[in-house]
Amino acid sequence: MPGAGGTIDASAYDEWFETPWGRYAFAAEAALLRRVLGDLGGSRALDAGCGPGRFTEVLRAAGAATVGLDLDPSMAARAAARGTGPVVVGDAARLPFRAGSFDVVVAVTLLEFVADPPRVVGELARVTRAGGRLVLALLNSRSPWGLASRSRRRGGAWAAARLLRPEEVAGWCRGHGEVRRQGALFAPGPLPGLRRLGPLLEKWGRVAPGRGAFQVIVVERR
Amino acid sequence: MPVPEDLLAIMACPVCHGALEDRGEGLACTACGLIYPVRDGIPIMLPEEASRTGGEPPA
Repeated sequence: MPGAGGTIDASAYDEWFETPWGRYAFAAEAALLRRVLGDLGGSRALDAGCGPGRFTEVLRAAGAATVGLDLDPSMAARAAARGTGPVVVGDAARLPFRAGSFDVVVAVTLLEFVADPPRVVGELARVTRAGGRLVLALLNSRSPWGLASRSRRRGGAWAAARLLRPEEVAGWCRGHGEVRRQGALFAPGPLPGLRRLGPLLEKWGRVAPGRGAFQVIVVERR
Repeated sequence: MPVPEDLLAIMACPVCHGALEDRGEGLACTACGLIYPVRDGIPIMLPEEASRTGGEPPA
């Protein structure tokens, strides 16, 4: 989600996902989210900082009734056009939802763009019901990939990002529930032969999930 | 385009967490009176985009 610090071009960001590396990264990220989330049949899920709605589609495909939220109206319009469910424009630091409204709240690379990440974590936890799950996905600077390449390749979007250490984010989450971490995206970047090599890298990478470029923190809400 | 009932039921005013009602011209907070516009079916839930009810008492 674009923060107050600058706007991200919604169409450039959305098109990044159709580049070879964008497709590879999204597939690895979506696969980890699917593994973490499991079957979401019968649940209501919020995609906070939904951007153009790519990950909202992953939640929908897992069976959830989704709501998307983004600060940027042009991102929200793109997400709404995907037809996955209702989308609202809103600020993750002041969510327009009642407490405990969602069974699952997912925020993919949202915290990197907000002014006060611990406050946003608190808001996301507030709208997650007791017994529900809050799933935060972050990009990891300490991964083979590195973030310099990422910032160039996501439609320039990452120029406005402020990277967070997963340990730090996990620390903010501990007051809200039981915390687990997982990782994916172990390829260092767009390599020749990535299509063949990629699946092996993703499999081998599971022995050191902390080195994945895509880190997922799951909070089981108390 | 009306905001779906099941969505409205879980939404709240981002400022005061009051309940919202769809007044056609926007989503009105029944507690603080702010009215949030709805553009192309998308509620704009930002205080800086909201307007005030014209002195109407809260419901």
